[in-house]
Amino acid sequence: MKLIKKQIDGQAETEVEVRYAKMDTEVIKLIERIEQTENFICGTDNGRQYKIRTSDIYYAESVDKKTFIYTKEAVFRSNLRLYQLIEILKADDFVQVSKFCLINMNALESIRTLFNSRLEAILINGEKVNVSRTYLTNVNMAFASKAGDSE
Amino acid sequence: MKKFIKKLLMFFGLASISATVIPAIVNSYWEAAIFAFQLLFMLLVVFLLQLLTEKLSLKIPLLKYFIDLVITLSVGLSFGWIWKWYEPSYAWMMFAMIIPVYVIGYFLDIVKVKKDVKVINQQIKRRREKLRE
Repeated sequence: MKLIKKQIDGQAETEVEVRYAKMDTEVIKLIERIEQTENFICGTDNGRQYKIRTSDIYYAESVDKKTFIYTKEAVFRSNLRLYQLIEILKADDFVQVSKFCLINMNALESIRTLFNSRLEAILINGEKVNVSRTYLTNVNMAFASKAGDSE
Repeated sequence: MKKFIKKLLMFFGLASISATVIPAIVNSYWEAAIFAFQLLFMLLVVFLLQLLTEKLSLKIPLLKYFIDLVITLSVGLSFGWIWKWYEPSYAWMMFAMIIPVYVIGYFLDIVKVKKDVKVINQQIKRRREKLRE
């Protein structure tokens, strides 16, 4: 099997094209694995329901037992509780950074300490999210395990 | 290193209790053993109260440290008073014993957190470079 990677400037969305001579078990398994990388979660905004690609989620937060999902440009309300979202998203690149918040590791720009010993995660869109010290080891391990997976 | 120190202190605690209880059984000299168990009970109360402060999910770590310190001092002074560990004029010694431990602990914690944050930021940078490839 040949793997061809091509960067195209201006490409709006990542596309995967699988070329095969015959649809055999190997090809089916490959397609299934690719499909599994795209997960979706339902969320509502102004009464309308949306299907949100998990890779578009920047972070999810629980406030007053309500879960909110933040993407680059919108905020959605989810019917799922945070612990349920954690279960769904744990296979994706998400890490819990506090009791009430889950962040997409790909949306994380950096973490910094503030003068009163608090921690803050800065996302790629400039948003800031509180990080709990208790979860710092969790974050470290998540990055270490993902780095190990990709090597 | 941290695991080593924790294990060492844990065995020190167990050895201290054993070293006071066995001679007490043999020689009927219970004062040291009683003191050891009083200390253990006091620490149990402190740890349980600190578990409650964990539940508060305080956003400011410094405040949590302060509350933990107040709990330790209050429980230490109270039990010390009940069990006559000190004369009232020497109560300041409890402060002298407990406060430095917390201050050192706080600064060690800051150093560790800064180190962890540096490692995480390096991992974030490496990951973003890999994704760009």
